[in-house]
This record gives sequence, structure tokens and C-alpha cells, in this order.
Amino acid sequence: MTTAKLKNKPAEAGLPRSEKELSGAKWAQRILGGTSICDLTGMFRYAVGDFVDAMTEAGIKVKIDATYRPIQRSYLMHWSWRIVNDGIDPATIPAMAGVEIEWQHPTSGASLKAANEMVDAFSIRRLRTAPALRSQHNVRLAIDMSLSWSGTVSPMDANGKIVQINGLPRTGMNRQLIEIGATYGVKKYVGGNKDVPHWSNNGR
Amino acid sequence: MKTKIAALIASLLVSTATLAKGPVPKDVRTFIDNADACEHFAGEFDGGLSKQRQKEIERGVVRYCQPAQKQLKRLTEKYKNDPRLTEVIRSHANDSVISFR
Repeated sequence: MTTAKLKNKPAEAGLPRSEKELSGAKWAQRILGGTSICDLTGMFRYAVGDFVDAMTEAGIKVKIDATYRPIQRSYLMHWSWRIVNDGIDPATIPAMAGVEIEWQHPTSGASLKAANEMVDAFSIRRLRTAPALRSQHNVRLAIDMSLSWSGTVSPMDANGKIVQINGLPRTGMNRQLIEIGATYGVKKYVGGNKDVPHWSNNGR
Repeated sequence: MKTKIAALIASLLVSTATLAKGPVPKDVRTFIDNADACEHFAGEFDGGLSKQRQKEIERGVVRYCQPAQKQLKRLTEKYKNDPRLTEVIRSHANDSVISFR
């Protein structure tokens, strides 16, 4: 592992010295996202847990794809993508607390090569815009889950009422299921079927 | 009486706020919808997701960011003499729309 110990200027001697590590593919494994309901926060965590329990007890298959994504991970994805695709000068990238990364290598070619390695390691090569720096996933208030079932199911809502779901579709876009989710405080994405698996605390 | 006056003042304030906001033309509303969805999908991606989910998000980015970027250019020109709509458009021109390529 290549570790760059980039020290502050001599004029700043006496101040704490920063020890940052050069950018590169290894950063993709440093800060990971989660798929556990336990990674969610506050009341939303319990709301999702209760909603998922109600669905599984009724025979609905629940496959969770994502819950929490640390903002530091979004930061790494965003800026590596922008160095590669927008030609951002690594020297201008703002620092982020908790991410001791040095984007600027001894040469601009080396900086670009390292950013390219990160883009591949994060699998964002085909993504045609910069990964956003903010999302409900960053604040532990969103979950992506695929839902499916066969026949008729009867989950219980948060008020203890059994709701028979016999309409289509048998996915997370089912109107009755969306209403049940809302009783728990788990809201379907406001953009409707633009993003089928996405649920959150506020529909965003 | 006091309650009626308070209700009247509240209704006047609401009306004033509504007038200040003014109507937003359909083409600007369409842009806002696309720009919001674009930013949403840009915030969803993660290489740790299933391949199927990654593809969904990549498609979502193209579906909403591409038209939003085109609309941004066109609407900025179309409403350049309307400061209110220019501000509405500018406030929704997020990084994800601008960065799309």
C-alpha cells in the first residue's frame, strides 16, 4: 500500500501535520454502504422494521438492496467521477471530515490515473452524471427494496387493521401496499414509478 | 372577533404569498420534475448495489438528466427576461443536471 505522508509547509511547523493517503482504487473498499435495517436511524428504523415484518408475515418477499450510504462514500464517488469526466483540478477539491484522502499526486497524470482507478472500483464508469453529494440514504432515512408476491396477501397496517391486497401490480407500486407503508411512516418515492424500489421517511 | 381578524389576516398573507410566487408554466414544471428525478437517481447509485439495480439507476439518469439538461438550456434562453422564472429555473439546475454527459 502506497502511503503518502504529505506534510504541511515548514512555516507551519508546530501545527499538527496532516497524514493523508493518496487516492486510488483501495478507497472504494474503505467506506462501505449497508443493506441492514439496523443501519437506519431513529423512528424510521423501527417503522421500516415493523413494515417489513408485516409484509414478510403476510407472504410478501422482501429483498433489500440498500439502506445507509455514508456521505463520505458519496464524496469519494462524486469527486473521482468529476476529476475524470469534468477535468476538475484535484487541488481544488474540498476536504471532508473523516476522509483523509489526498487527491493531488506528484503529477497531474498520476492524479488522473488514480481517479480513473476509483471510478472503476466504484463501478461508476457507465454512470453519465456525477454521483450526487446528498441523498436520503446518506442520512439513514431511505431503503431500496424489491417486493413481490403471488395471489392475495393480507398484511397488517400500523393501526392493526388487516388489509387484503388482491389488486395489481404485485410489486412495491401496489397502491394498497403504498397506503399500508404510509401508516408505518414508510413513504413511497414521490416520483411514482420512476423509482420502484425506493422508500423513505418523506417520499424523497 | 379576534379570531375572525386573525383568520382574515392569515388568508390575506396566504393570497399575497401565492401571488408573489405566481404561476409556473408547464414547460418549467416539466423541467423541475426531470431535474428532481435526475438528482434523485444520481444520489441512488452505488457500485455495491446489485447489477440489476445499478442498471435501473443508470437508465434513470439518462431518462431524466438528458431531457433536463436540454430543457435547462432552452428555458434559460426562453425566460431570460423574466427574473422570477429565471430564478425558479436556476434553483433547480442542480449539479446532476449540469454534469450529465
